[in-house]
Amino acid sequence: MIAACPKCRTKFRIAKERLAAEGVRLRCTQCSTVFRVKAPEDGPAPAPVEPTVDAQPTPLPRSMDRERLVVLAISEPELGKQAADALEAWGLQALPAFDGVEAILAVQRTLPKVVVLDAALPKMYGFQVCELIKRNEQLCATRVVLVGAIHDDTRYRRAPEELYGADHYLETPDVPDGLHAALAGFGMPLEGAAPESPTPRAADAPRGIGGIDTAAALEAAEPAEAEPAPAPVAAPPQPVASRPAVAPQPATPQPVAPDDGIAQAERLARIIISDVILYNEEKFAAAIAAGNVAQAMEPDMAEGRALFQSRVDPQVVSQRDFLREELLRVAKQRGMV
Amino acid sequence: MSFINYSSREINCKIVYYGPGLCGKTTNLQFIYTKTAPDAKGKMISLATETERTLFFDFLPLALGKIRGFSTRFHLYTVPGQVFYDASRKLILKGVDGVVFVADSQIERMEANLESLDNLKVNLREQGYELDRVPYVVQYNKRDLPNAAPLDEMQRLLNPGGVPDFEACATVGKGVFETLKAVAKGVLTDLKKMGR
Repeated sequence: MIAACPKCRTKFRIAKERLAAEGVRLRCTQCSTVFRVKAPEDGPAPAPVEPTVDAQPTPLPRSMDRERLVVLAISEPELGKQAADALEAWGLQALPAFDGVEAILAVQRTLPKVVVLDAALPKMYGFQVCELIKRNEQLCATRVVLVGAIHDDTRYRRAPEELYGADHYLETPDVPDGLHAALAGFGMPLEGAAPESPTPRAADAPRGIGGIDTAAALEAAEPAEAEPAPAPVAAPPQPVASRPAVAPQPATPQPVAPDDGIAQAERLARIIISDVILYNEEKFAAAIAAGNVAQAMEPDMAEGRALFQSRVDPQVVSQRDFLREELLRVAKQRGMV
Repeated sequence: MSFINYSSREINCKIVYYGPGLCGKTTNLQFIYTKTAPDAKGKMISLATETERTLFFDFLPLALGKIRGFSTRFHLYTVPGQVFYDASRKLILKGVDGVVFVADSQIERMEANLESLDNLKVNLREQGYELDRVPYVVQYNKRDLPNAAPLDEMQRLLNPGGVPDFEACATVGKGVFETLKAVAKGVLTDLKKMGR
């Protein structure tokens, strides 16, 4: 029979006749985890467990503290072990899951504070797990850290099509160190100091890396299937001729003062409404035809309103409904009576 | 910041396509994806809404040959352009090595371009970067549209520092690879400087 290490999933072939009735203890040669293997009972194989969003959480063992619990779903064993070790060093409890189905079941069972999801989990992508979590009222309080697996991209066989609402995003090289800041941001009780980014980065590169042949690399930057695109414009694209540099303008400060803030509030309103209309063209056109632009578009303006109120001085905000005025101005410009 | 993996002899760099909503960032990546040989690219991940608008990011890994025995892999990202998705933009900018600012040439989107550029500066500054110290190029997209603003006006407003800039029509690929090459050149030049 085949037995798999519960931690790193390394598989071992074991002769069934060597297993005692109560099973045997094995030590994994890869990660040193000790686990028990029992002979399979005769009878029909258990049905595969399908994740459902209606499962109820079960009481946690006493040794588990929900506030310190992190479900760790990382398919790469070595990286998962590093992350688990780091979590333990920070005084947290890592509950490993090795595929997407295990991850969602673990979240449903334990309602952890945080789940770390590798994007490329077997059986069920991390994105899909994230979506299930965020769509479910019981689970959506669990914070999700999505980990983009940038070293093994060929494992993505199907592109996710939606955002699944992750609370934080990390790249694989930033695991486990980047997790510290993410978990601290979620208010988890972390022990010990934050890691000092031991990950080798370009700035630490030995001198041997330094002599990068830019020209050679840029040759390689040509499209591999060099196929001239149909050019609607006669002249090929050229870098625009260099011009005398002008001092760059400073970035716009976020809050605006009430006395000179009206113009900036109007400008921000124009930008927000421009986005709202651009992303809802058909709806906007229909609302113009029906003559109910303000009511019809209001649901699509919620995020814009939140941004507007966060950026503009409350005294200015209270003077007028800048967004509604701008919406109606554009509607009239487009023919609303 | 570039990540160098010594065991697999890979240099990974992150390039972010930034710009206002519907300016063509995803279209740039899609064109690059369709015109790149299968063995040089990974799967393009597109986290978009049902109406195909980027909500979180697009991601396209791209191999650009070897340098001194190290494979170079460029990871191309786009950000959601809508003004209120700033939190996602901040996340995606983390560890950026190079930035492409894709401007929408339509005259009515000029304010959105300026807002997005300001937002880029603010978000980079939060991460400890200054735009003029990050490899950075500008692309004026949608040049084929009849309501495109004059080029010199766009340059004056969006590229006062005179970084490399390109006219483009990303739907047909005009200017797409020229933009990518320019930013890749900047990133690799930076890497070279850091390695010295």
